[in-house]
Formats: sequence, structure tokens, C-alpha cells
Amino acid sequence: MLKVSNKFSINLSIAISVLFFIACIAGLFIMPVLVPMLIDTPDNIGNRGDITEIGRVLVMAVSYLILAVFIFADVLMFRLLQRVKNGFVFTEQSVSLIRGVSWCCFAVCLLFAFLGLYFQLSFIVAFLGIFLGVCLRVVKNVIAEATEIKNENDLTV
Amino acid sequence: MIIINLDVMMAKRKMSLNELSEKVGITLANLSILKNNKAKAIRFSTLDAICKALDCKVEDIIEYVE
Repeated sequence: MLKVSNKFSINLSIAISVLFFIACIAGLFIMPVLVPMLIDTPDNIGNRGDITEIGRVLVMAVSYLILAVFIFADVLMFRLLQRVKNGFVFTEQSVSLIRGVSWCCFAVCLLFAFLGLYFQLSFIVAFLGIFLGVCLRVVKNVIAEATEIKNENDLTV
Repeated sequence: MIIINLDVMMAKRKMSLNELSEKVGITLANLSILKNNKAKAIRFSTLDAICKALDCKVEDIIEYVE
């Protein structure tokens, strides 16, 4: 197993989250090209390349919404990483940040489920979104419990 | 409810918070937590050291009230 020092690991996470942010911003510009391409390419599991005008607008709007949610979640994650770096992991704010990210996962899942009406493969992404959201909720519960224990430990003299 | 009467005992012995923290060997911050009734738990070793430093009984510091 590849094992690196704790500090390096945190810096790596920060670097990845910054890269993801850049990718999202790039996505904002690529989207107007990519989405029509996807709409006009017929596949043999649902999309026959005949999506109506309203459908096109809806798909475009939902795609942008998904990106917005991703960017929001990434910002939350970045703030959480800053807290980890500065040593304030087990606090109420960290718990609410993770809760925020997990709600973002559920939101993305709903949006992908909507896209599934046009591109059936999106249902798989929606399914993964639910799984990730549930995982994060569990992590949130664990951190909340740890926060309580740390609080009690801090207040023992 | 358990309350801490550390300030009363300190006044009787005319001991400052600084002095007590030095004698007991815990930080000023932790002693303040104890004195202001914010503490959730107290170690026996801490209690022992405080009683020794203030030359008093446990019930002089800790009290149970309804």
C-alpha cells in the first residue's frame, strides 16, 4: 500500500480539490458544446436523438445545476480541509460541512435521476450519488460522536 | 447538580488562581474551566492535588445541590 505522511496527504487532498474546482469551471465553458453533442447522438438505450426543444433547454439547465452543486460541494470540502489542516477537525462546524456535502450528493442524485428521463445511463450515476450521500452521512454521524467525546475530554480537568 | 466552590476556598486561603495552578500543576485555562463550573469531569489526581494545595477536604470544594 502506498503510504504518505499526514501533512502530505492533506496537501494532496487540497490539491485535488483545487483541481476539481478548476475542472468544474472548465466544465462551465465546455457544457454548451458537450450537451448538444450528447443530445444529438442517438444511443440504443433510450435517446433516439429526437429530444424536443423544451427537453433540450431542460437538459441544459439541469446540467448547469449539477455543475453548480458540484462547485458548492467542492467549496464546502475545501473549507473542511482547511479546518483539518489547522487542527479543528472535531467541531460542530466540521460536522455541518460534511452534512452539507452529503445533501449536495443527494441533490446531484435527484438531478441525475431527472436526466435519466432522457439519458438512461444517468440512473447509474444517480444510484452512485445516493450511495455516496449515505456514506457521507455515516461519516458525519461518526464525526459528530467523536466531537462529543473530544468535547468531554477537553472539559475534563 | 454538582457545583464547584473553588473560589470560596481560594478566598479563605487567600490564594490566587495563578498560584493555585502552579501548585496543582494544571494550566490556568483548565483551572478556570473548573472554577467556572464548565468542567464535565474531574480526575481524582487533580482533586487530590487541589485538596493538598488548599489544605481542605473534598466537600469544601465540591457540593451537591438540588
